[in-house]
Amino acid sequence: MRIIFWLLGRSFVYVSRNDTRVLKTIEKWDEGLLIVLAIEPAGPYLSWKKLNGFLEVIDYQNQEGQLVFTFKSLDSAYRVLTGQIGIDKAFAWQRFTLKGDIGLAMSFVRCISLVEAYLFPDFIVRKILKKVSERELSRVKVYLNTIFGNFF
Amino acid sequence: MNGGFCLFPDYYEFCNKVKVNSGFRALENLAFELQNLKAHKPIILSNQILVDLGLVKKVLSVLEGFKTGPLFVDIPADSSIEVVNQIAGIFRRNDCDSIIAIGGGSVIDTAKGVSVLISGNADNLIEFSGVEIIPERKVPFVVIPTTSGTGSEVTLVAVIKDNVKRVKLEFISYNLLPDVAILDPEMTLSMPPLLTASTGMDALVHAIEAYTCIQKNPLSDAYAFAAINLIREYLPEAIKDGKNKFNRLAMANASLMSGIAFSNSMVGIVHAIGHACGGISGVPHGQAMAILLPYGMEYNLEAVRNYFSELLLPLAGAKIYSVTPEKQRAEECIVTVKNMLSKLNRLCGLPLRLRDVGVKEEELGEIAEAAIDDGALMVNPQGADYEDVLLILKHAY
Repeated sequence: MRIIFWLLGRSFVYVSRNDTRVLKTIEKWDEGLLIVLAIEPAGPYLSWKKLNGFLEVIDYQNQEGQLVFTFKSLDSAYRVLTGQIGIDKAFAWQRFTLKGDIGLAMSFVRCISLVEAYLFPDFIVRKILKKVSERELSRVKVYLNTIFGNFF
Repeated sequence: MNGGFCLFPDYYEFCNKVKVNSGFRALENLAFELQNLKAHKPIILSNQILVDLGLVKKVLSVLEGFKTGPLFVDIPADSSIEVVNQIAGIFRRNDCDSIIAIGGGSVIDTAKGVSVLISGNADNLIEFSGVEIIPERKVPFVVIPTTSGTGSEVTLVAVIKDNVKRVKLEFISYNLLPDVAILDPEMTLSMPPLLTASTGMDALVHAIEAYTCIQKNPLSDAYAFAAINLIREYLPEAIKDGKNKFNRLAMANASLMSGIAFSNSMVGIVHAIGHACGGISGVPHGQAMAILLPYGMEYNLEAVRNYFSELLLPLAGAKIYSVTPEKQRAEECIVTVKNMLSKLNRLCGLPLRLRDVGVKEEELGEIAEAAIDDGALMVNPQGADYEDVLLILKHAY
């Protein structure tokens, strides 16, 4: 699960700087906003913070964020983050709790859905997303930059 | 869920722990219910309109001999964080131990907020905004609805405005459910025809969206189905003859059943856009629901065609359902809703277009922006982005 969080954390940061739709959404977020993904009962954790207008992976420790998604079990988190079920389905099945403004959470979920569209193959994307948006970036670029960082 | 009414979703949760007292003179049992809950000094929450209509006095009259706390009636049409915080202070200063809410959605949501602050021993409601993070309720809580539409007396949701950030915060938790809901037709007799129609349509949208969104489940389906049957039969009657207590009781039950349904399966795109219409253009919630319903249904049609086909039965009745070919039932379901709206428009002037309720064309973009950030879109069966919502708004305009 830590590896998945590492990949998700870095890929979101890359997409957030290069996909215009995510950039536009993040523009509206308050500077300093801290978003945390957590898994009950004892982690792991992943947090992003908006710093100088851009999103950064801050930490893999538990944090007091303004927006905190807490999966109720490791199984739920694993199924969502490996593309077995979509975030909307996980919400419908009450697989996570949320602390913070639901409107803000919706904009975060829209961004994460775009990230998923880069990370997962099309057959999974069609299964987990109700509406598949066009990709603005090449998948290869997203993968390489996620793994190696600032690849090109 | 991949099929119809009889199939089960892979997983679902359902909870309704509210005791319902429904019927003629149901209010008479209020003191008993309070004693049963070991409530000794309830704060009473309502609004000035209901005081002027004599409804608060009606409740107080059945509490003669029962020690009550202060009566707070300065609850605005949109409940706010500030008001909730203020009431919690009054509750504590007067050593109250329970809450009675008399009113519609705003009063009930305010009361839910107060119960959260008292139970969480907190001073600011904002820290509880979100999903399933509210602590277990520790104060007895009785609700007496005075409208038939929100279903808030049995829902796990409260929507409360943050006036500083100018946003409506949502609170979702089973710990918001009251202990007792008292449905007494005396409490809804004074609703004028237009309010009866718009709140009734709100209940209908709750039921239809609960039946078609991705969180639907067999239990919420049953409540939604039963609610729609009642609304078809009694909403026009309650508009035509508002003094008829049986019509009022039937609509109160329809609203309650719709509330239970959507509390356990949530609502979708009609609510997402309707909330935004309310926030930006000040459209009354029930009227927004009525106007947007057919357009939301048309948008979702291909994703939930089979569910709309099933809903033709409660919406149109057995006779029309049985003579409508199976392949046409979904479309006929939407036509039935449109016909119902036209009928209500003739009966009491229920508005049918957004332009008729004060929405300006130049506001449509802003409304669409707000709607895509509404939590209700999460469980809508069809994905929707800004352009999709804008198109729905243009159709409804």
